[in-house]
Amino acid sequence: MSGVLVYSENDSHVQTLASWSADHADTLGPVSVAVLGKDAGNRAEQHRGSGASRVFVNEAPGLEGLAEDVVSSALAQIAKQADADLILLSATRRGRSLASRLAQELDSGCVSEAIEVGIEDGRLITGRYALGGNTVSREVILTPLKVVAVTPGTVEGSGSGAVEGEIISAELSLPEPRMMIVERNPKPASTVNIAESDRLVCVGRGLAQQEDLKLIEDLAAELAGEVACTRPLSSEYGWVSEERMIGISGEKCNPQLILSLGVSGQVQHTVGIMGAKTIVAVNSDPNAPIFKLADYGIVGDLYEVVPALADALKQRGAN
Amino acid sequence: MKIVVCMKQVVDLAQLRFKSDGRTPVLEGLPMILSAFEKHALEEAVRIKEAQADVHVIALSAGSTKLKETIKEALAIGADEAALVIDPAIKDTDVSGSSRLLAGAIEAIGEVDLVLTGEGSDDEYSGQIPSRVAARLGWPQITTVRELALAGEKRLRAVRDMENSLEVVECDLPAVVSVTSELNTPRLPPLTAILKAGRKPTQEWTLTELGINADEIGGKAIQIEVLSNLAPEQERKNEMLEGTLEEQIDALLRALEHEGVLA
Ligand SMILES: Cc1cc2nc3c(=O)[nH]c(=O)nc-3n(C[C@H](O)[C@H](O)[C@H](O)COP(=O)(O)OP(=O)(O)OC[C@H]3O[C@@H](n4cnc5c(N)ncnc54)[C@H](O)[C@@H]3O)c2cc1C
Repeated sequence: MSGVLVYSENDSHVQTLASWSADHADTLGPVSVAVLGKDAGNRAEQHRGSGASRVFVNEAPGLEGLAEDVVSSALAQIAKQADADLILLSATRRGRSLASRLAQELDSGCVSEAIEVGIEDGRLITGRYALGGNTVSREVILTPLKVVAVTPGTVEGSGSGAVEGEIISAELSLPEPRMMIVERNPKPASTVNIAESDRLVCVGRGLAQQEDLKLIEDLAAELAGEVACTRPLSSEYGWVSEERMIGISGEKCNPQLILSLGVSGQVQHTVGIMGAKTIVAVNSDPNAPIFKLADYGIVGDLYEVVPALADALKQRGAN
Repeated sequence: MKIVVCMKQVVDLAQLRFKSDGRTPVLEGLPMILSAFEKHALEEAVRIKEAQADVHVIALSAGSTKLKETIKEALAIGADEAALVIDPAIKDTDVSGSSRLLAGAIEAIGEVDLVLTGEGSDDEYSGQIPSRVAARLGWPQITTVRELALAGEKRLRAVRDMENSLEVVECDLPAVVSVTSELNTPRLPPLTAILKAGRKPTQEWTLTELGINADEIGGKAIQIEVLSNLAPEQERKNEMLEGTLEEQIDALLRALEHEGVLA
C-alpha cells in the first residue's frame, strides 16, 4: 500500500494509531499524521516522534468547529498530498461520523468501528460487530482508498518505529462550515472510566428500586471495583450515570472480573463484557441467557446473594 | 415542512439462532421488523408534527417486498406517508449502495427540509448512513443528537452527545440529523392506528424508476468483501454453583481466588 494518514481530535489516539502504523510500515507504507484546527502547530510537535514521517498542519478557523464536512474535505486533500491510500481515524462518536462522510466524499469503502485490525498476506483485514453484536464480520475493503475508524484500545504500537517527523504546513482549500458550534459543555466531570476498571459489579433490572443501589455499591467497595449497569438503569430510570452503562451503545469493558447481577444477558449488553477474563452471573431465572456466557453462575435472588457475598469478602479481607 | 425519516428493515435479532457449531447465524425464516434506533427518529418527527402546523412526515426505506407490511408500524406511529424503494437487486448491496438508494429517493420526494435517522441500525450499527446520505446530497450532517429544536423555518439547533461533552450546534436546513436513543421514548401505536395504517399513502419505486442502475449499488460497486461473519469463540466455564447460599459463595470465592481476579 502507498501510505497511511492518521487523524483524530484526540491526540493520544493519534499517537497510538501512528505508532501501530509505523510497526506495519513495510506493508502499509510511510505514515503521515494530520493535525487540524486550533493550536495545531503546537499540538503537531508531540506527534513528530510517534512514528509519522510527516505531520501535516492546518490552523484554518473553519476547522475549529470540527464540522465533519469541512474536516473530511481537509483530510481528503491531505491524503492526496501524502499519497496515503489508508486513512485511519479513531472510532469516537465524532470519528465514526467523520469516517463515513470522508469515505463517501472519496467514494470509498469504510469500516466505521473496527474492533480488530490486522494484516494478512499483505492485505488489511478488519473486524467489526454485526447482527447487533451477535457476530464479528471480518472484512477486506476493496476500493483503492480505504477509511477505517478504529475503536480506542484495539491496537497498540511498540514505539520502535519512531522517526523524527517533518512538519508540513498543508495548503488547503476548504468549504465554509455550515454547522456552527454555539457552545461545548463538558459533561458533568466523568468520575470513572469503567472501560479500564479491573473489577466491575454490573447491575440490571433485577434491582427493584434506586435505594437498593447501596447494596451494589457496598459489594463493589468490598471488591475494590466499580459499579456498572445495563441500559434501562441509566437511560430509562436514570438511577446510574450513563458513563457506567455497558453495551453496544455504552462502554466496552475488559475487566479481570465482572459480577453480573440481575442482568438477563441480551446481546446489546453482552457485547460490552466479552473481553472480561472471568464472568460471574447471579440471576433468579435459571434459563437467563447470561448463564451461557458466564464462567460461574448462581441461580438466586440478588437481594440474598449480594449482601452475603459482600460479608464473605469483608471476612476474607479481615483474615 | 417535509421531514423524511430513514428506517431500516432488519431481521428480528431477538429470534436469531445459530447452527450446531454455535457460531454460524441462521437468518432464513426470521421475521422482519423495523430497527429500534430509527423509532427514536420517527418519534421526534411525529412530535415536531404535533407541535406545529404544516409538517409532513415521510417514512423512507429500501428493501424487499416485505417492507410493505413492515412499514405499517411507522405509519401507525404517526408518519403521514411511506416511501419505499423495492427491488430484488437491493439484497446484495452494501452501505454505500443503500445510501445511494436513500439519497435518490430523497431527491425524488423533493423539497425535503430535514432527514432524520438513527445513530446506527440494530443489525449493523455502523452509523454510516447519515453521513453518506448527507455527503451525497451535499448537505450538512449533525450526528448523535440527544436534543433537537427547530429555530424558525429554516434552521435547527441540536445538542450532540459526544463522549466527554455536549455540543450545542446550529445549522441551516436542509440537513441530515442522526439521533441517539436518549432523545425520547418512542410511543407504542394504538391498535386502531395499526388497523388504519394501511390506508395511508405509499409511494413506491424500483431502481429504474429512481434512475439508478443496478451496477451502481451492486457488482463492481461493492466496496467491502466479507471474509466471515461468525459469533466470536467463547470459552467460558459455564459452571453452575450448587448447594446452600453459603456453600455457593464459598465455592465462588475459592474459584475467583484461584483465578487471581480478586484484589
Ligand atoms: C438498538 C438497541 C441498543 C441497545 N443497547 C444497549 C446497550 O448498549 N446496553 C444495554 O445494557 N442494553 C442495550 N439495549 C437493551 C437490551 O436489549 C436489553 O433490553 C437490556 O440490556 C436489558 O437489561 P437488563 O438485563 O437489566 O433487564 P432485563 O432484560 O429485564 O433482565 C432483568 C433480569 O433480572 C433478573 N432478575 C429479576 N429480579 C431478580 C432478583 N431479585 N435477583 C436476581 N435476578 C433477578 C430477571 O430474571 C432478568 O433476567 C439495547 C437495545 C436495543 C434495541
